[in-house]
Amino acid sequence: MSALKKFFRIYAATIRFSMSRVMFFRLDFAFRFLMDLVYYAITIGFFEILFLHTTTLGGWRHDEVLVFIACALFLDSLYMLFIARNLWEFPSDVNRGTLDGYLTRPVSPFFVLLCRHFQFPSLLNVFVGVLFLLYAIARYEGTITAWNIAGILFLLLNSFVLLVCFRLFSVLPVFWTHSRFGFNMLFQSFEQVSTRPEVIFRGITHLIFLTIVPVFVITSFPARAFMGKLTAAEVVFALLVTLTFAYAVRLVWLAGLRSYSSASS
Amino acid sequence: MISAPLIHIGLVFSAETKRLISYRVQFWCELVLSTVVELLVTVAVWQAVFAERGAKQIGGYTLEEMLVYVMLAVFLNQATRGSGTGTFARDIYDGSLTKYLVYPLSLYSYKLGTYLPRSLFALVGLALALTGIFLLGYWPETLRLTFPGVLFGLFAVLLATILFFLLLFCVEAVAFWVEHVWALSVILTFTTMLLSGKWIPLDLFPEWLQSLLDYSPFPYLVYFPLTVFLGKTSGSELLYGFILLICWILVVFGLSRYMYSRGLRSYTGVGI
Repeated sequence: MSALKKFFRIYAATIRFSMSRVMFFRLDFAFRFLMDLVYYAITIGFFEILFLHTTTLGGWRHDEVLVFIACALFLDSLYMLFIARNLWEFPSDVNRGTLDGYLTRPVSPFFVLLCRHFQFPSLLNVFVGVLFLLYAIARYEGTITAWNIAGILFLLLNSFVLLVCFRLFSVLPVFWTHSRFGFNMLFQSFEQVSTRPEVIFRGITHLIFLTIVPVFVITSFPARAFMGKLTAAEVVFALLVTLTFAYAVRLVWLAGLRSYSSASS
Repeated sequence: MISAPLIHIGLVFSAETKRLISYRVQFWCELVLSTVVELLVTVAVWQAVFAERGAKQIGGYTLEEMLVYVMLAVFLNQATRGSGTGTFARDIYDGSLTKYLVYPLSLYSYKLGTYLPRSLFALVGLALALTGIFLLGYWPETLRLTFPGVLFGLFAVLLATILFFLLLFCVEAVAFWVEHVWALSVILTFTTMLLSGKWIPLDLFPEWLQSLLDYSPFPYLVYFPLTVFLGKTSGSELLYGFILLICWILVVFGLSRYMYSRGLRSYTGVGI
């Protein structure tokens, strides 16, 4: 319990530091907020133009695709708020040896790796993400039950944990590759898959993005839970995938630390 | 006089290519895999749209034509986007821009030399994709790939790459006055994804948006080179397109020169 209290205290300090940083770099705050807004506009705009030429996509109506995009964008805003910057800086920490500083602190280095930055500008985007999600739910033409709401909330939480674990795999290989940005380019292309509904993919491609690169579990499952199109077995599958990825992250992190050779690596 | 900058660009290009592939396994894995993933996504989207509609054509494109369009668009976008994004802004922030001021070559030559290697890899990918499509017999009969079309197309890609390089240069030059401009370059990249016609051909956009885009450089980054490649733009339309593309390059080049010279006046050389 006291360990948890300590983590919260440290995280509160991180948030305070982030706030003071925002006051210092005000234009950067505006640019980052704008950047995420443009990303949302581009993603939504793509589907809006597509729906000028079709009435359904992979069997999903326009309002159903809206719920899906809202889930994807909301998760992206959470990721940007809590995690993104921490992972962007990780390759440089390993390659320059500044990770040493985190390893010697009296707190879990993994916690520091994930929680040392809080992207204050993205807080506004989370707000926008929530508003868009509410808008998409209001536009939804199907029946909405308490189960649908509980399903989407539970699976969004699961998806966020899975998203963090998944994105960690873009940077953890830096322990061995020592490259400048990790596998950022590859994971950016996975991001494109995550903003397209699962139902348009078929065969082996669908299988790969459901299991090895589980982007469908991250973005499509919460939307499907809301629409009542997710079975209990699939919910269990989503939880198992998250647990597997969390365990794999732990193993890779520990192996990485063992091979980390400090500043000269 | 003209050959000196070209030699400089060539030398930097060669050094940058070596640097880029120094992490060989990662470089090739990432380049090939990310391209394959992008192709899978774009193909899946359009296959789904055509399957839902049950139509033979959408906006004048058959499914085969659309697949060829979006696949080539992935490579052309990679080509115009180049590499070395963010380095100019970083040079301004940490003061390392100073070294370029004493180098016996212009900053433009150096930065363009570092920008082009990834474009070359993308063009090699494009050539392989074209060969693959032909050999597998997927090339639509309605599209004609002619030798002049390919030559003009390649020229348009080169100009489009220079245009995007200059647009990025302008965005990053804002770093002379503002801390942290990374988000601005990301905004430019995001915007280009949709408005250049990479994901959806621009003639499928609503008319009001098409008319608006006519006054922007975005259509010249992917859509125009691609339609030239596929022989969909020819005659006076081709000439008009090239004139506008060159005009955009000159305008953005002029803007970048202005920003650079004004920025140097406020640059202190000690970093921010």
